[in-house]
Amino acid sequence: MLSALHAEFQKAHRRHDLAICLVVPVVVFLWTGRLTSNDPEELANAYSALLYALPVLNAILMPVVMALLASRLWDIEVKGSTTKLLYTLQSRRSLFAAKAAFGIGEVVLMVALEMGAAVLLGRTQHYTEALPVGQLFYLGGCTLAVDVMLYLSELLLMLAWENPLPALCVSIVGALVGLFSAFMPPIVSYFVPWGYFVPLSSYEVAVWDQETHTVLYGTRPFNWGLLAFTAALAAVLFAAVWRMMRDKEV
Amino acid sequence: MQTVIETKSLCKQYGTRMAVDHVELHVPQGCVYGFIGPNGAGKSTTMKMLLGLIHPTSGSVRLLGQPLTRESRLALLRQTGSLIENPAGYLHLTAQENLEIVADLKGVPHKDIGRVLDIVHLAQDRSRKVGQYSLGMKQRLGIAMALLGSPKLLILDEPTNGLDPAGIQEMRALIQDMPAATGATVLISSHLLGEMEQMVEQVGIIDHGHMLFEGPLAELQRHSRGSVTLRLLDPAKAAPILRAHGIAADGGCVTLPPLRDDLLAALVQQLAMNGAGVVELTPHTKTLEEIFLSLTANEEAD
Repeated sequence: MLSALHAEFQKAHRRHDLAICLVVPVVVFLWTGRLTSNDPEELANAYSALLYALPVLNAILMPVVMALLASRLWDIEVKGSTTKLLYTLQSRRSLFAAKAAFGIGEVVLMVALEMGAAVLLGRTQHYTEALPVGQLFYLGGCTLAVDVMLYLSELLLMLAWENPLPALCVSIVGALVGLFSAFMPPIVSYFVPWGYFVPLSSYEVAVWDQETHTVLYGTRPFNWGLLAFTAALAAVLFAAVWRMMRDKEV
Repeated sequence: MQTVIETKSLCKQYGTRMAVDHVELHVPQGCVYGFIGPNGAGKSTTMKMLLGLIHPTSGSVRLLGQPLTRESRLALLRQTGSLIENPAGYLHLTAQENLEIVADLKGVPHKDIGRVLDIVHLAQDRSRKVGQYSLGMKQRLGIAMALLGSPKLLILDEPTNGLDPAGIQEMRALIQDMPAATGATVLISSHLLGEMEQMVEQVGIIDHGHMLFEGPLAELQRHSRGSVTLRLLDPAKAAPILRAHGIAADGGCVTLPPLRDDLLAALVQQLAMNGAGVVELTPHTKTLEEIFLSLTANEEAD
């Protein structure tokens, strides 16, 4: 298993995966950073505003970014016609485990960087609201669960079609439908896994003053049920990817 | 001589189609074995079953004297090099980096990379990205990957596919020398019969999933003897003898049908004793292509 994981690191050389992992944190930093004003009232509610906005941003970006990660990880095997060779050198189980571990590792890195970018924003923009550590960890956990679920679904599509295009198309459509579902009643959003970032969010608009155009964000209970369902969906997809890799004749 | 590859009643069925039908393969140690058949004959499917890439519907495989099972597969394949269908290689990495990945997965020290790059004449291009390689260079890199760790057995599926004539000649020389240079037994498949004739000692001929022939190339050629042309000084004296054997004599050159050696010797002796003046006897050995066509034609007739 260790040699298989080592091989994945060797394959990642010159693939610039880190650049993809940096896309989301950089976008978070630039986009939400530009929106922050110096108004003391807004700075006093700034972390809440940021943690409300991040799931929406994730719903737009993450499906496509996960498709990119999954396609980069498997497409090199397709383009290089390497699967037959690899299956004579290592077990399918070790290849799958290494791909899953490497991909999930990249997702963990991306989520950590995104959360880090949120904290950094607070520091650089001088937010006066106390850092909601618990809410941040919950958001990180939810983002990670949905990202891993999406990553595995895209990997499954890559394995099935041996072509990155279907996975990319599904992710773009998924991102659009996911974003659309975020503004529908919660029951609708439960049927669109690409947009789970939003119903999992623990922030909501508490006060919306139309006259002064001021918004106050407040918290709502953690959605443990949906988080558990997302984790279960990820587990099912994990098993499906393993089955496909194990049984597919090359 | 030890048998390096042995299959028993190997079958692979896709739906109702038998891609490989009770194939019995026996590859002796230290030879270049040509696995010949037209496209779709079952060569690649058989080779994939030898490597455990696909599961046989029935039958068994022995590699290097041991049965190929789920448990023994990887240990056996570590002593085997293979190139199946397309040459493998990560296009964004250099040849050196590609070989390092394969060496690490095989558990072979990196110092072996220089040796295999020298064998396939890619040492000068080791730092170029594989995406910039020509097809011939990729094929040679595929062979280099197969050669890493000095395997006892090489399984090469159509390694000359897509190569230009110079590349084919180079690959042929490389494979021909392998048993002597590396001690490896080579199983090579191709549908280019003329090319195989110059490279292999043992042949197996497969068509529609059935083995039509297996044995030394020389035996195949002996069994598939061609006609013999006789040049005579006095055709008139030869005519009655030839007519008695059911052969039409017309002029100084007579074409005899394929005959066993003892019958041919007796006929020539008889002609000489009758003063026909046998001055030239030219045997026409069938090319592998002609033999293959006659074997496949026989199978279709059956």
